[in-house]
Parts: sequence; structure tokens; C-alpha cells
Amino acid sequence: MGKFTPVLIAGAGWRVSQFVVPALLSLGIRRNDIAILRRQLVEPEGVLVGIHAVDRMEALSESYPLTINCVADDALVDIQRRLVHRFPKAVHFCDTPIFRRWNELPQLIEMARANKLFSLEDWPTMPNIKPMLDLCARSPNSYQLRFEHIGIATHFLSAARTAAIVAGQSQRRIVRREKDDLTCRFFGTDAICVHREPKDAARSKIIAWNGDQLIEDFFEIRETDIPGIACDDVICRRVEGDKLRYFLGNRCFREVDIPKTIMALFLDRGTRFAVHELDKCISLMDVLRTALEGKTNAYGYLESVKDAVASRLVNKRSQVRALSDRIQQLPTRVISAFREGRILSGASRRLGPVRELYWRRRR
Amino acid sequence: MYDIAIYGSGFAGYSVAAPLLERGYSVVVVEKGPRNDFRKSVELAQVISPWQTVESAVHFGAVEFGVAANPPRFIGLGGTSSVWSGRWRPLDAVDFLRFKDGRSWPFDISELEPHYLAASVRFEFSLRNNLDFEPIRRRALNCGLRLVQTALQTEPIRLTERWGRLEDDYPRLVILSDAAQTEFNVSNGTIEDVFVRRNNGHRTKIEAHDHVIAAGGIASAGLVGELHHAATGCLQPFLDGYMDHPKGLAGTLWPTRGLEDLDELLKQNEFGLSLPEDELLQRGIGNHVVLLEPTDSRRDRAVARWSKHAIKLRLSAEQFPEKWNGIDYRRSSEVRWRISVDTRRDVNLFFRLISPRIEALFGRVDGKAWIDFVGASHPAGCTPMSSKPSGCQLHPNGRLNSLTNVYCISSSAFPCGGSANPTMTIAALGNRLSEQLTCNG
Repeated sequence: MGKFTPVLIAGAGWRVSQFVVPALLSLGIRRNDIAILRRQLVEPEGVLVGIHAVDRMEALSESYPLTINCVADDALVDIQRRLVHRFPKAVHFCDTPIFRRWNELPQLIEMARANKLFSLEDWPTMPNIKPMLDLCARSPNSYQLRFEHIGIATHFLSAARTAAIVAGQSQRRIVRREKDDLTCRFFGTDAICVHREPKDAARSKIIAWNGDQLIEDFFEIRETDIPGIACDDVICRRVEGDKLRYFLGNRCFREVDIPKTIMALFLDRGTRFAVHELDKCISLMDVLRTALEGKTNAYGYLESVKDAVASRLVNKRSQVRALSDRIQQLPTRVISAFREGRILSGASRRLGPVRELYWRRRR
Repeated sequence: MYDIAIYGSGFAGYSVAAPLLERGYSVVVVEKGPRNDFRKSVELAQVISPWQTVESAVHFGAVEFGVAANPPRFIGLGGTSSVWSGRWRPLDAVDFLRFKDGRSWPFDISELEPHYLAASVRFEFSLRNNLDFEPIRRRALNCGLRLVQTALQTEPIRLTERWGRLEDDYPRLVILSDAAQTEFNVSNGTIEDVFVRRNNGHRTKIEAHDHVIAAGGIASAGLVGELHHAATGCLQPFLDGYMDHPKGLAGTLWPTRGLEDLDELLKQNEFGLSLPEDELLQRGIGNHVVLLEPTDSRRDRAVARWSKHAIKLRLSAEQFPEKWNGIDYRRSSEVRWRISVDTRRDVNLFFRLISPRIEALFGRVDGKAWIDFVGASHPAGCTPMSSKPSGCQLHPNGRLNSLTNVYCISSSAFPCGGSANPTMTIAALGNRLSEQLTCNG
């Protein structure tokens, strides 16, 4: 980035080693400008080698203008609260899924009101999503945005919300689960976003359709060009040295400089999921770049909280059972609506500003 | 020296071999897959699909073997037809009249009609010509709808057993299964001989007067491409025009009228609805077909019951050949296939036209904004027949453009595929080729 920008990362798990650190290194941040706060000090491996690590927040002496919280979800809120308190002037990023326990919700909402707290949600800014969002914006009342066999509900809901914002729609929405499909409809339009489960690398794809135009992404990446194969409706990535180019047909709509060593972290696996993870890494690069430049353009933390609430309430039975273990902590209205499986209007006191409709279909 | 060498033992291969054996010809069948090993068969059936997954809409028993969730085809003695059941349906006249992307069938439906009949005799099914349906057909026609007839094969056909019976009856039939590698010796525009190396290490030399490629819509295209390369030195690695006829839920019918007719159609479960052929041709719309599926699995309910239950409208779509969809046979059969925007627009137009007509006949129709298509695993079209063949295209009799004694009769030979299950047409082409080879002596 050119200037000295210390970055604090909380956590040293998969998310950090696979996405956050590669994204920072790709942005030109030096390893000695990064500090990692982790639970236990162990010998670092892979991309974490050479990065200073501490196991107590008290051991951090510097002032960090940027913090990234990626600890395990049971400690996520607690660590975030401490980070906000310790570095009040910093820009803070908190990883999705944002929270685990329902009784953390008021804390989260309070924290969200603090300035400079953003979600580390990377789906809304993935490069491959851009032409699809443009298509949604061209047909705000009739688009279909479909994420099939990839990702989790929280990520999907963030992308759906972004589509609504880009299309200039109301963000008031009905989120509904029907078998394997999680659908998200916006008031006053026929537009719909769909997330299909289960995850399946061989069948994963993203589709945007407006009744007349179609864009599909099958997470295709090529190191050599295959002459004559550049379909106008399909997104394709092409690796050219240290550059990764995104094409829609023959039109290059995005070019990213990313070191070969970082690219290899993703591409060596050769699956669609690996390519998707590369997209996520590039999205993180974009988000963190804006933060480092002092004009943060990232997905809102409160929006991410709403998405997390929605995904919990409409998620599958197994997760619903996990939730019901702590059902005593929920407001009465939530409990009764939840037990009866009827529409829940999110206007209870505890849910506060999370005013959305969730519909979990009775099974 | 054999009279005929056939590569592949599915419907196509069987439909050529059986009549030729009956006429006293000697036949050798080379099959890549095993005779009785489903697991191995499923493993061999995998293809690389960088776009839409090429998988079978019907899983049969593949899942049970835990090898792959949805293999596109079985490979083995009898191929897919190791356990085949489905809808027998010939291509319609309109399919033979299409001219798309420089392709068209080099003959009309009358050429295949006797062979369709022969196929129905050989595989013991009949396309019902029941006069009871004439009034329904007329009423549908009055609403601008065409009743499309199929014959449902409920009891699976097992070609493995049929090949076994042929072996018993005709000693002049030799089957070489587990053929791991097949090397063609091509010179002077013909296949001189073939070396087959089997999984047990045995290497067999085959000499035959004529060679027939009948290895399915994907493998056949690959073989044709390799032979064309060997014969001409011209490499055409990507064979375009791959077609499938994807299926998906297009809408829901809420029946309120014509309930007796509807009940009858659902009971028979052998009819679909489409637009009149003239109209399809005039508007350039694909020969899509809407199949009626009761939401309740029981089909023999009383009329009154239909009025209370929705009926799913499942659309079987025709895909026209497109330059983006194809097979790269150098990459272990990489099948690049998807449902394009043109197909979606075409299907949407079709459904907009047919919905009010179905409404006039039976009741309200709710269409879906997005049809969630799944491939039917009926690959076709990468080495089409043509009246003026070039490259990997075939002559009207199925002969390769670059080799004088090699024929291909799989679904890869279809210039346009319609929306019918291709099995009946493949069997008819096989029967037709057997007659031609007999005439050639």
C-alpha cells in the first residue's frame, strides 16, 4: 500500500490463513506489518510464517488502524467488543457468521452503532458478481439471482441484499425456506434471489436472469486460451502471469494483480470451490484496500447481523434444534413463533432494528 | 475376417447386430465396459463437465454403488440399456424439417418410418393408435394443442440378457468386452485392422469389412474425431453442436374443466402436449413438449379428485445445436454443455403460447419465472449427418466423411434432436444401417 499500515488479525484459523493473510500480502502489506492475536502460540505454518503472533491482547502495544476479527464463533462477539474498546479509532472488520448465541444480539446491535465497524462479508463484492448485479439493476422488478450448491445462507443473504440495493429496491424482504431452496423476495417486485443447497462442487454455479438476458458462472478458470470458446453469457477467468482477468464472453470486465504464489494456494486444488475461494480472496483484497486507503467500502455490520438472524431462523432442522437449546434466552414472541413455525415479524424489542420477515415452513 | 465390427453394445449396436446376424453375417462387438460389473461401468461413465453437469436425470442404481452420484450413462454390455426404461418416442416430422446452424436431417421422416416400426417389433412395444383418444386429440387440436404420443417402457429392457441370447443363437457373434484400448490402423481412407487390448492384457487383432461406431452420443463423437484425425491429419478437437433435451418444472395446472379427458390422459401417462408442428416451424420454436404429472403419485384417481389437486407441468425442451456446446475429446471427453439464453427465450415463448391453450382445455396454469432444467443425459449432435458432409460430419447413410468403411449410428449423428428420447431413433438408424450393409453385400 506504500505507507506503513499495521494490521491486527484476531484468530489464526482457516479463514485467516486461506483468505485474510493472502489478501493482505497481495495488497503489498509486509509480514512484519501484520500482528496476529491467537489463542495459543504455536509454530506458524504456511502463509503465517514470519508474522508476529501474541496470545493476549495486553501484549499488543501498538495502535492498529485496522483490525480483522476472525476468531471462532463462540468467542467472536467477546473479542470484537474488546477490540472496539481497545482500539476505538480503528476500522474494525468482523467475520461472518457474526454471532452464535441469541443473547449476544443486543450487544451486537449496540456495537454496530459504533462507527467504523464492518462485516468481513465478501460475497457482495466478488468480481464475478459485478456483471450479475448490473443485470439485476437493469431489470429491478424481474431478475432472478441464483446461487446453486455453493456457500452458506448468511453469505447468500448478503448478496441478495446487495442486489436489492444495486437495483434500487426496498430492503424489506421475505426470506423463506422450501426444501433445499432458501428464497428471498423483496416487497413490491417480482425479483427473487435463491440459494440452493446442498453444497456440491461439481454442480455449483451462479446465475442471473431477467427473462431475456442470462449470465452464468461455473467457476471456470483457464491458464491457456481455448480458441473459439468464449461464450457470451458465461463468466470465465484467465490467468496471465501475475494477472487474473475476468471475462464475460470476450469482454474483460475486471483485471486483478495477484502474485502467482497466492493464486497457487487456490488453484492447485482444481475444483469449482477453489475458484470461488479465489473470488472471495479478491473480494477481500478490494474491501481491505478501501479500508487501508481510508475510505472503507464494505458490507455493513448491522446488515450482516440481520442476515445472520435470518439464516438462523429459516435454517434447517438440525440448526433449529441447536437454537432451541438456548430457547429460554429468546423473547416470548420469538419462542412461540419459532415453535409454531408460523411467520415471525421481527419487530420484538429484543430484535430491535432487525425488522424483517422470516418464514420457516412447517415440516 | 468379420463382416462387421461394432464398437459399443447399446441399443445402436444391438439394432445393427441382431438383423445382420439373422441374415448370416459374422459380427464382432467391441465393448469398453465390463459384462456384469455395474460399479466399473459407473466409473467408466464419468465425463468432465466444466459447465452444466452432464448427469442422468434418472439415477437408476448408480447411487447404490457409491461411485458417483449421477453418472451420465452406464458403460458395459448393453450400455445404458443394461437397465433401460423410459419413453419410446420417434422424432416428429417437424424435427426432420428443421434447418438450424447449417444443419438439417438429410432425409425426411418417411425414410425412418419403416425402421421405427422395425424397432417397435424388435423391442416389443407399440405406439398406441387407440381410437378412444381421437375425440381428445380433436378437442386438443381445437384449442391449438397437439397431442404427442409416447410408449412408456415400465419393465426395464435388459440388453445384457438379449446379447446373451444372440450369443447362444449365433456362433458367428463374438463379443470382446473390457476393451481397455482400441487402436485403429487407418490407411487409404479405410480402417485396415484394429488392435484391441483388453483389461486382462490380451491383445486381439480384428479385421472386418465394415466398422460401425455405436458407442453413445459422447464416446462415438470422440471416436469419429480420432478417426477423422487419423485419416486426414486434420485435428478438430472441439466438436460443437452438443444437444440434450433438458427437463424441468415449467408450471402448475389447476384443473377445472375437461376433467374426463385429463383423467384419461393421466391414467395412460403416455401423452404430452405441444404446439402444432406447422406453427413450431413457422415461428422457429423448438419442438418442446409439456408432460402432465399429478402431484399425487397415484394416477388412477376419480375425476373429481383432479379438480382439487394441482398437476405439475414438466417441460421436455428441445435444444438446438449451438457452437458453444460441444465435446473436447482430447480431454477424456470433456463435455461443455449448458442451457443457453436462446434456449431459455425459446422455451419461454413456447410456454407463453401454450399456457392459454392448456387453460382453455383444462383450467388455470401458473407458469414459473425460472425453469430449473436438468439434463436428460441424451447427448446428441456432435457428428451430424449431412447431405454435404465436411470434417467430422457424416454422410446421409451414417458413413464417415473421411473413411469409406466406417459408419456411425449413435445420437451424435442427429443434426437436430427434437425433444424425444433418442433411443427409438437410434434403434431405427441401427436397423436402417443393417439393411444398407446387407444391400451393399
